[in-house]
Amino acid sequence: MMRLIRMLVRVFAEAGVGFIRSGWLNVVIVSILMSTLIVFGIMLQFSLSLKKVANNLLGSQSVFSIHLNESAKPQEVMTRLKRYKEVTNTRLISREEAWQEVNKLVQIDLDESLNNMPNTIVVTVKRPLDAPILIQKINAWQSEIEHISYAPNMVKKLNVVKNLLIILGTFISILLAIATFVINLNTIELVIRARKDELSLLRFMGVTNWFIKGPFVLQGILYGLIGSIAAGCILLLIDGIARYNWQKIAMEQFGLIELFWPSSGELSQILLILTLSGISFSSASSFWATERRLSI
Amino acid sequence: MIELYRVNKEYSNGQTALKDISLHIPMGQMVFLIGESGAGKSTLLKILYKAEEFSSGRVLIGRVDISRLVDYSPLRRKIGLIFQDSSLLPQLNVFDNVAYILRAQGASEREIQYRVEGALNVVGLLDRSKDMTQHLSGGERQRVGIARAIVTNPPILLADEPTGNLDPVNSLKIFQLFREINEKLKMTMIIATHDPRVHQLKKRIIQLGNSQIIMDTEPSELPMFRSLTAV
Repeated sequence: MMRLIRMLVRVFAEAGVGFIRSGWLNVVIVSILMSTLIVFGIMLQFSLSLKKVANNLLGSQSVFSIHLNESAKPQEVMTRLKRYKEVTNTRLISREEAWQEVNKLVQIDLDESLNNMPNTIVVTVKRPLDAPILIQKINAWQSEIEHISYAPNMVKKLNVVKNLLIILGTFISILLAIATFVINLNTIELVIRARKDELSLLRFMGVTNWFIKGPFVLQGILYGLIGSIAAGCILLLIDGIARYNWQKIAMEQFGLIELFWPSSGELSQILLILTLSGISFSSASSFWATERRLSI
Repeated sequence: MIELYRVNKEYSNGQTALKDISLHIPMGQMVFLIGESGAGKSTLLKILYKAEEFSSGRVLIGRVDISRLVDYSPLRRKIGLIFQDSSLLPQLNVFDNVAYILRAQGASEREIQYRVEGALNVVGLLDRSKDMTQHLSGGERQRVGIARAIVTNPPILLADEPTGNLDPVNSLKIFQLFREINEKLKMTMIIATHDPRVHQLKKRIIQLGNSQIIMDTEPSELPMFRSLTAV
């Protein structure tokens, strides 16, 4: 048992020696791996944010807004709406109230004559399924209605954006991943070639397979660990800066930040995924290099 | 005991390296393998430590058929190897070069100290243990190579042209050292060389020519020569 522990310690020491001997190549590998993981992390963060927004909007499927024409009488429209048994609540946002909200948002007192906001009725139905049916019926009141806002349309658009981002991010990640894999593979192969005589000597001396191959795989794990830690730090920094600026600009007024920003728990999950993918990825390429170049 | 039965080795280009080689080397015997370059000496040694495969025949080392081995490491751990260029690790000093295999086998530092000092003592380099190998002469480097080969106390020692890079005086010293090791440690030794003076050591000599054994002489059959030191 002690002998095995001593061997393990020496495999780790050999990995450290190999890492030091690789010199500047280490910086190249770690940088590329880090870039890959950052792109991957940003992609994960974006898709997670968009998913949250979509889910929030889907959650409000029982609510839609009717923007009225100038000629329409809001109270009459509300009375007609209340006749439908699916409708549980109606709320009028007058054009004056809407104008006040705009003024509050831009923090300037604009002239009332510029107000082109419509009267809006926010309708709540019993079940999300009722909304599309009711909207179809209301659409027939063409003379009074300017436009109906319904969340699922937005959700569809968000899903399209989210899917595009995932495809783009996956594509970039795959390209960078292939680059990392090839560079890591070549580096380890270069190290093996440079130490070819030494390694063949070791195998002829009867040194075990894993004592020879192990340090190279460990070197790969080390690359993965350093690359993912660096990528994680940069992602946290980006997250911190973006969150600060986001709040600073405007959204804190509406409390929307928590709506779609990944929580600290979700961020930890992303970092864990990054670390695991970084380690497994670079150790796999190192393992492959040893399998290709080290026939024991 | 090392046994070879009708061993043949042919390369993919059709070139024959060994032809119908049969040998029996008992435990503890010291054998010189002589012959011109390309006679098949190195190939025969490489077959024994599984650096090359043979095309047909049978090779037994200590009753183990080596063609059936999947993992060569246990076999190789029973064999000490000495190369022409000594093949030392340049980044390590004398002590660490000799200790490397012990460390790879998980030996304790106490055991390493004891064994390495013992091996360096046998080759007469105990006082140079902290020196880097680049600072040693050719003969000294080869002694380090021998110390590394014997440090695990393997039952078999194979040396491929161990004096190929050495001057005549150092060559003789190395051969004397081999004889001393053989007598003290009782290791089975096969030494490939084309140095004709090995006759003077009064050991078994197997001569290869055209990939075949052309002479196999036991010590008793050898004519008496002048003392080795007088050469």
